[in-house]
Amino acid sequence: MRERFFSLCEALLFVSPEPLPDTVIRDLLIEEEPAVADVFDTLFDDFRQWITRREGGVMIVRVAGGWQMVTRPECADAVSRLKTRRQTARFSRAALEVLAIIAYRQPITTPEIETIRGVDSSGVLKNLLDKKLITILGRKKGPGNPLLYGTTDQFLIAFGLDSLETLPDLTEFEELIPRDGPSPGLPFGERSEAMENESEEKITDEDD
Amino acid sequence: MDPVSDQLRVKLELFEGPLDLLLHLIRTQHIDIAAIPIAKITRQYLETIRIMKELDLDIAGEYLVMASTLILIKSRMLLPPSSQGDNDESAEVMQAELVRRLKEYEVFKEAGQHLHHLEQERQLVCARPTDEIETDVHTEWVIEASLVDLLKSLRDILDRKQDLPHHVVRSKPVSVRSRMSAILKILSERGSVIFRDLFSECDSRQDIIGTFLAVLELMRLQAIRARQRKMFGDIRLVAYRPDEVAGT
Repeated sequence: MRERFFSLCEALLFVSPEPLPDTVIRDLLIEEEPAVADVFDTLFDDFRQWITRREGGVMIVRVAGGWQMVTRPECADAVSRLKTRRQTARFSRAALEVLAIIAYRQPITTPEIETIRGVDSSGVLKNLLDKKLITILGRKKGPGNPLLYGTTDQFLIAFGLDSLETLPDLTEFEELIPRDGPSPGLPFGERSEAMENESEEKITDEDD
Repeated sequence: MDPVSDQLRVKLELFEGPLDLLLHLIRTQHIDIAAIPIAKITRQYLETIRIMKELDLDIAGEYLVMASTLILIKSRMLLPPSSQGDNDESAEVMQAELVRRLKEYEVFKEAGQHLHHLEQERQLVCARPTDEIETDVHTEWVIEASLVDLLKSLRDILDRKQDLPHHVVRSKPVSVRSRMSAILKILSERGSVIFRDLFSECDSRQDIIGTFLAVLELMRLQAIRARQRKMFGDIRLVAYRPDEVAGT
């Protein structure tokens, strides 16, 4: 039963492009092998250990409340060379700021987001809605009944989060901020510059 | 020109707004955020705006609003307290509010950076592309129910409950909004629900229609999906992303 359990789990996780919740894996396996019902949790833990020990090209990660089979970080370079469409940084600083505000303050309206950022954010919001990283949760009662936004599972997947609770507490960021000491300049900007240079190098590599 | 302005020449495009620019001015000069030298910062801020204009950069209106706020604080600081009208906020109050906003914004800026790290980490691993295979967690319920199916089901329900009154007077009218949250609550608890069962406790036609409209609205918002096991079969509503509903 154990071998059969492992192969079924692996097959399901291999096929599913979305993270599979435990309950779904459980239901599918019980249908196949009713005896699994009592020992599912133990067997699934064993399965995960088996995958880890095997040190193959894939691993099982916890994301958006489910399990997902992904390639190992050690294989990242080779995998990215295989992919035709290069992934560069997908989110602008503005997008990351808006996502952070929504993630911590949801449900939240556009005016509330713009008050925190001090700048118009409607374009960013539209873009994030199109990418299904945020969704409309309803309308806020009050003048104009503005739309309320919240993050989606797509957001959790994009950032490899199991749930919103996996995000650090906001106070932890406060501690990171130098209160009166020197600032490390614009680490963010510098990093994105560095990444741009990197991608430029890659392009020249390709041309060769 | 002071050295700060020189630095700004190359970094202008990187500012996400007036708060970001102010933070930059404060941080690069190692100034305590709680004790901003308003006169100095205002001068540097205006100088930056001038450079932005010179470079023909689009200056969003928000930058100018902030400029006028800074000038206002600066001018109020020059006035003796007695000469201020009672309705005017004092320079201290305005500055405290500005500091509060800067601190709040800075926290979210950090949080955004954290997301950036998470994204980079996540990009090291690769999952199967989502658009390749259509899967559904409720594998048996694979047929997407159409509006026609939903309307047919509604007709059956209304037929079966013909003796119901059209309208029941209540202290609170049934709102589609409250129906929507009720449906989402059921889905977060049970994962899915048979469409027909949603109406079992409806005691008026108005109630049924309200629930039906709520289902349509949730489908439009892509919060739920309506699925069938076979054509013309029972319709089952599933949360579009079951865990998210449970998680919120």
